[in-house]
Amino acid sequence: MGFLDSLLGRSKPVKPDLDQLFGLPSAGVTLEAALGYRPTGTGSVAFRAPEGRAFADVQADVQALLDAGQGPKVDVSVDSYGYTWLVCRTEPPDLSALVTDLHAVNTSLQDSGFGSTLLCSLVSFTDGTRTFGLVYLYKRGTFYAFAPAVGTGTTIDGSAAQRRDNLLELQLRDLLKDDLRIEPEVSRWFAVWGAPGL
Amino acid sequence: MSARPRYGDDPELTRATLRAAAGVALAAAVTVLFVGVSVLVVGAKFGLWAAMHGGWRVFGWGFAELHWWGLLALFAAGVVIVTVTEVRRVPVPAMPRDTREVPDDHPAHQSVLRLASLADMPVPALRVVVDEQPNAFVVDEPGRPVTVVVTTAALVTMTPDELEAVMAHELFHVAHGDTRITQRLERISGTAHRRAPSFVAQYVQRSVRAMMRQRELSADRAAALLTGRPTSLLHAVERCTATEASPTTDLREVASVAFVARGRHDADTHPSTAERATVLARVATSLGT
Repeated sequence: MGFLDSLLGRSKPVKPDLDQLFGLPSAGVTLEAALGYRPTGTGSVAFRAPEGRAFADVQADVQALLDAGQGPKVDVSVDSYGYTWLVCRTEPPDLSALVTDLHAVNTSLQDSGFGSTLLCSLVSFTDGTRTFGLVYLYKRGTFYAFAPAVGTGTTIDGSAAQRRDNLLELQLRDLLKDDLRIEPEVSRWFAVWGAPGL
Repeated sequence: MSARPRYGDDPELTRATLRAAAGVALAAAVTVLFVGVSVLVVGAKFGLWAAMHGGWRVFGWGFAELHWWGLLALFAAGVVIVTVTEVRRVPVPAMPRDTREVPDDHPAHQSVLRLASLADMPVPALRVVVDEQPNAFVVDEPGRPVTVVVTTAALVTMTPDELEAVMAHELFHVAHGDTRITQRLERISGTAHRRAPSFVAQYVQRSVRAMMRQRELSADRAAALLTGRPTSLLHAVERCTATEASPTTDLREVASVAFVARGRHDADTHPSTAERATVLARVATSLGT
């Protein structure tokens, strides 16, 4: 933002960068070859739906949008931060098809004026025991890995402890730096606990 | 679902900014006039004195002329230096004592990260200070990263939705550079109080305060558009203004942009709840809810 824009309070909406998503299939190949992680076949898109609209309303609208463009079937859920998640599944897991589906969902949302509300996309991978998600930040055009730690037990009040497997996340950053543009500011790697597909 | 502009221009803020700029320009002009007149008056005195003591050749060069023109220049330079020093004297914005970092996994911190990613804005540091009034403010201390400070009361009493709205409001203060702009304008306004006639000083102060109020409204508007939750922001404003706790931490010295006014100290730098509600209602309409 320029000096004049900031003086006059003109904060411009940021356009999402959708094309980076197509780097995912080659990242998938690298992951399987190096660490034995395979895609789970689940991917999701998170965006911020404005208040007041009934949940069913959003779901119907989004599905109508996707059907109009012969898009994939999606499930809708809302997380505790108030973001709406659209979940796509491919059976059997097929990363290229999943990326194409996610891109279709994104394009529909962007074409209908929701581009500036897109937060992130998430594609999950697993090696049978550990599961992690590759998170794509639209506005930054960058990826990072979010890995919940396995078997961390419970906290003192009985709820499940939420800890991240930071070592795996950093390992993945180094492994994927040639395939994907990785978010350089580690402080921006926000947690997506309970995101669909994890 | 249709395409809607998100933030765009804010014509009211543009007008308020121009008015404040006009106020500052007026103050500068009056100060220059004031300096000019004093220089002339003093000059005339010395001119008379020089004339009486044999400096006959007023328009030629002679010891007497050098003498009084030199004094004049010195006097004018003195006035200019004092004024500039006053404007530049920085009331250093200080971080309140006893703040603590908000942990990474705290929901408030996580929602800041999400909002910053949603709008591709810089991520400020987040700290908490003990205080019984729910509030939040930006501290922009030289040599430190820009920090959003929330009070303990805000973290404890607010719902996640309200807290997120407050965070979005403060993020836009950071993005709009409000801390720096208000600090500078307050300094100019303070200098006008000492240097310019009082009617000018009052005009400058009024226009600067009006602009600060408009910047609050602008941050409200952008925050509500970003989160898509104007109602949560209004609830947050109501919750913050409803609490009449006596402050446990002295925040008066913190030159910063707060979410709601802190007592009488900055009552007229913040819009009323009714004004904020009007702006937020307009946002709600534009979101089609």
